[in-house]
Amino acid sequence: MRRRPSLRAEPVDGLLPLFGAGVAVLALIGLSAWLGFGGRQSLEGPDEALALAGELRGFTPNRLVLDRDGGAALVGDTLGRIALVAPHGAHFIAREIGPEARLDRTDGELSIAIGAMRVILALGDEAASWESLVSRAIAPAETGP
Amino acid sequence: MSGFDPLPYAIPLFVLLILVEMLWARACKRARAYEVRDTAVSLGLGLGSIVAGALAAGATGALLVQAHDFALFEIGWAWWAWGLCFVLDDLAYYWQHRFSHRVRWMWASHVNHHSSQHYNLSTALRQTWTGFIALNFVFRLPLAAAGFEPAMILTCAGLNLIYQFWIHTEAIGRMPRCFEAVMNTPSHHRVHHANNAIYLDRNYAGTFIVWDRVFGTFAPEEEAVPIRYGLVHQLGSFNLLRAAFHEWVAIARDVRQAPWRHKLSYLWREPGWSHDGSRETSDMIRARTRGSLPPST
Repeated sequence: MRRRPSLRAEPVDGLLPLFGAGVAVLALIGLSAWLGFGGRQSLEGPDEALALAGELRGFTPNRLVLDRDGGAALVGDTLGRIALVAPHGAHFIAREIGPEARLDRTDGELSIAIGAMRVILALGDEAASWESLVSRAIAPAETGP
Repeated sequence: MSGFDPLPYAIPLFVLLILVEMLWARACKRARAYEVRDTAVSLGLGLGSIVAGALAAGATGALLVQAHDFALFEIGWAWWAWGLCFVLDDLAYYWQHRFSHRVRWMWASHVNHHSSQHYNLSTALRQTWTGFIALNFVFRLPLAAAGFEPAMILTCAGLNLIYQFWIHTEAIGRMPRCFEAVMNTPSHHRVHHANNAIYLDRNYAGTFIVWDRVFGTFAPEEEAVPIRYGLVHQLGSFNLLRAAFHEWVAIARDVRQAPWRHKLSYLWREPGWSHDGSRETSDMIRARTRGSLPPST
């Protein structure tokens, strides 16, 4: 007759390893901060912004503006869509600007919010023209051709 | 007999190697290698996965024991059984992992391992909290039904997971050619974590890359294609709970909104599938971008 195996889970001496792992996690997070892994990065250049926007479905970039410090970008495509390339930690993400976005302009700066993400782009003289493009992307039916 | 979980004993080594990699990144001025909030999420997910794993261990073990009742062979604890069990468990892992990328119900559990835009050793610890709900254990039941001891299976699974830790790094380029041919390596696994179209759904291996070569899912790391890590649609959040559960929430929303005849498809079809064609699966992305990819070397 076949012997029936038992399987008894043995937590490694209760909660001690979990506590130790928790302490180690906090130490590594602290070390990461102390070593300076954090803070805002700059785009490596227009190519990085174009590549990120180009990953959006059906998005063929044809115009771009970089924030003065390279901390964000706006990319337009052939269909009038606009992608916001925004910082996320040490990297960047691209989001298409749609009806849910909010836009403000003050003194050469555009402030764009999509959900919880809010980005301020210093665009100087180009702020007005991009404000128009972004407005059309937010409300194409109202301001479109 | 009792189950031996090797994972807790490896934690000090994990911590030490992460420390070494951080110092390497700092010395090499790789400012994007780590990010403190990303690291916190990865390690938080790792810590939570220990708790989730402990909570599910009893049920998983009981199911393996039940399956073992129907065993075809009485393999027992023979020395050769360990090697065979490890290899077959790795095969089971390959298929579990492949399904985890091709079935949205399982992807919801696995996605958090891929949601970092970084690729470092802390990413390796970005483990799921919902693996049991996703039915990951199912893929190991055949091993128990074949006659392998449940505790042996779980130990091999733990060793497999430990092996996979060191391959989550950019600090190592390529290993010697003979090693790259058989074993999963940092180079192979970087491909797996890439969101470049050419690399999507490739290199599912745990320990032995041969499974990908056998089943046609292998892709080599191309020098000409700089890897971008993360998801096709990046998460864009450092919220731990969002990282752990966002895809489950998305599934619930899709099922609620879908027409009745399509509701189940949002559970079992591949990630990116939609009944109205408004989204893209990895196959669709690969097909769309195929014309613009550089030739394979």
